[in-house]
Amino acid sequence: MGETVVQVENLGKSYRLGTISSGTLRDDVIRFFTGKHPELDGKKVRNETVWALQDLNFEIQKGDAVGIVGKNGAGKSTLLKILSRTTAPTTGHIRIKGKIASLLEVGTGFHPELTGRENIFLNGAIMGMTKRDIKGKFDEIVEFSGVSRYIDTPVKRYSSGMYVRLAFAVAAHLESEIMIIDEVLAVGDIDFQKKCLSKMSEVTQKQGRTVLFVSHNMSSVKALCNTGIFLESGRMKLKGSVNEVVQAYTVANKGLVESTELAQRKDRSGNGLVRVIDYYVTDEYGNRIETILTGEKVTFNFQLKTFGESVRNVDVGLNFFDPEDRNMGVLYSSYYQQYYTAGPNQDMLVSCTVPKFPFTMGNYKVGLRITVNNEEADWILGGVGYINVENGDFYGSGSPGFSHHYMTNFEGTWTIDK
Amino acid sequence: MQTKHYWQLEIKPKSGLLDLKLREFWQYRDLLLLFVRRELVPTYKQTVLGPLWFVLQPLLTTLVYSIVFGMVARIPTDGAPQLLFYLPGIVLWNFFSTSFLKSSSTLVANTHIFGKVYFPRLVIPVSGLLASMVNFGIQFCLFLTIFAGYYFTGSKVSPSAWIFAFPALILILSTYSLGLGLIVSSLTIRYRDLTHFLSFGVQLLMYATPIIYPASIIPANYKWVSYANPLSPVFEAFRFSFLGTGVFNVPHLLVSFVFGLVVLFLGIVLFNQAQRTSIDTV
Repeated sequence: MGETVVQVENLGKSYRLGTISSGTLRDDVIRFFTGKHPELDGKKVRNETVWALQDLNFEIQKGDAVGIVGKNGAGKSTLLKILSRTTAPTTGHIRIKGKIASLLEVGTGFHPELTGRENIFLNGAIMGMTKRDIKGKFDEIVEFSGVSRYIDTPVKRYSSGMYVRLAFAVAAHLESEIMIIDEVLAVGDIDFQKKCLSKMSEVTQKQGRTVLFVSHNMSSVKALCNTGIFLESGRMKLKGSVNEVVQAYTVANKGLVESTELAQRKDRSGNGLVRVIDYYVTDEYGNRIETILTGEKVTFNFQLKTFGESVRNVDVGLNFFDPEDRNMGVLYSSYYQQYYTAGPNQDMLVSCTVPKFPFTMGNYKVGLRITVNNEEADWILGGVGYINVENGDFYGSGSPGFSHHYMTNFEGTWTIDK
Repeated sequence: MQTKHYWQLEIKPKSGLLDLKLREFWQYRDLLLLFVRRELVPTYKQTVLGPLWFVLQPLLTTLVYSIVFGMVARIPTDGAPQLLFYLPGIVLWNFFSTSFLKSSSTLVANTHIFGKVYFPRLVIPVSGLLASMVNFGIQFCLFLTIFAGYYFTGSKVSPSAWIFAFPALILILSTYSLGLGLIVSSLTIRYRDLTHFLSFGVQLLMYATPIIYPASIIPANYKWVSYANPLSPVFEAFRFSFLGTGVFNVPHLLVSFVFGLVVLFLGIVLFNQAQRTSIDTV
């Protein structure tokens, strides 16, 4: 058994809702001298405290890579903030052995007027490196970032990609025994993301450092971590192997998206010229269904709405994510040369019929992206919903196949020539 | 193996009032210097006149003061040439007010960076103070040049050996600008209205300090105002050491310094408490 490097006991953090403190100096002075709260005098004190974290107890062993997962508002970022000492807990304590560095953001403190070189030193020092540390690693950092040509140029002249690469390069070379990492990996282009991921796993696996990683992306959690912590409503729901935790998170997450009205969803990007306001799945007879059988003919129906202006060249794309958030396939209407046109404030129902649903048993997230003239109009980050898939008669032969071994079926014709 | 755990860091809800964490502050001295640089470099980059702005500003202000307070209002200067009378006061006050305003905005202005990474928060206001000192240095050189010009052309100035005490005067001002700044910064988290009062308050304080007038013209029954203001003896002493006007009141300066240290200590204590959860409320 490894050595405990992080010990969390009874950790809790509460926030007061509404106005913090009584708000005015006069009230505070009165309260200080009389022990009374003037505004609440005579009334019952309302309990406006919200616990973002409560009764958290866990230990982390040296060399562990711990994935912290949970829905928005489960307390992940509060835990990160306390661990990285940007705010203090309300109850309990954390004991830490070894140097700790937090990476809640890359490029903290970067100043646009300073050169790349100057910013490396500044950013490194903010994250706790000494000038000597940085000097020793300087060449490595510059090489990793790939911006050596522009190292003496002010970073305001950098492209955003260069900026992020430089910022990440500094962070990746932090010399600390414990690293706290937020979802900063979701930066830069695909190549750079891969580079970052491999650097991260190198850090944990080869150098034996302890890593706490917070992410929504279950496949990077699985790729990086060996254990996990699942937070729900400020409490620890599960601590265990990364597979158990990812599984539990996926199951718990299933009902979440469906419960929110699509029109009210806030986790969306795009210019909003067209938006999806409702979504449902129907079988070949037009009945609404929750569960799809593999191989079944199904239709995905999207109620769209335009707003102030009329739109042309509307392209609608449907895709599916597996439980680890991997994209399983995309189908845009434009792939079939189909574009839609609509006037202002118009409702329309766009449907996509899949003649033989290919994916095997499991839960899939359904994504929908709408573009107008190739510009993103609507994209719901958390997906429009989840579908449950049960094994069906894909091959029309009654054979179930070995569908628990793979995620997608395909059709083929077997022949033999003699 | 059951060895006794030793923990290098403990994160707790409360920290000791008197735990000033100065050792940790010292460990981050590299960061301190880098912040000073970050503060200074952008002001000079991409400006045509660069550091010249730091020289022009007090000169122009001096000019305005000479016209308004000297020629129009006819406020006496204790016989010193007007330029030499107003300039040191303006330069010193610039130093005090910029470093004070800088440190008083620490917790509110740096929420973003404070929310992302930990380092001793005191680094920020102290770096602001040091940067102000550098700017002061530039302006002080300007003053010295003009002073030398007057001195060698035989004007009526009588410098004394107290000239070499000027670092001590800067030190006294620093205890106030930093100490008061930290106190205000800690309070603004709860009472945001303070920020509105601030620039106004600084201006009031300026008129309560002998900058545009010599302390000698204060009527006897208002002398206490000048005594109660711990900044007054500093400005008077600075003027005395170079121009020979004003007074160099050592006991008064000592009292001012000791009180300044108390303010600074109080500031650090308040600030250390306030910064612990400042990002929750700002």
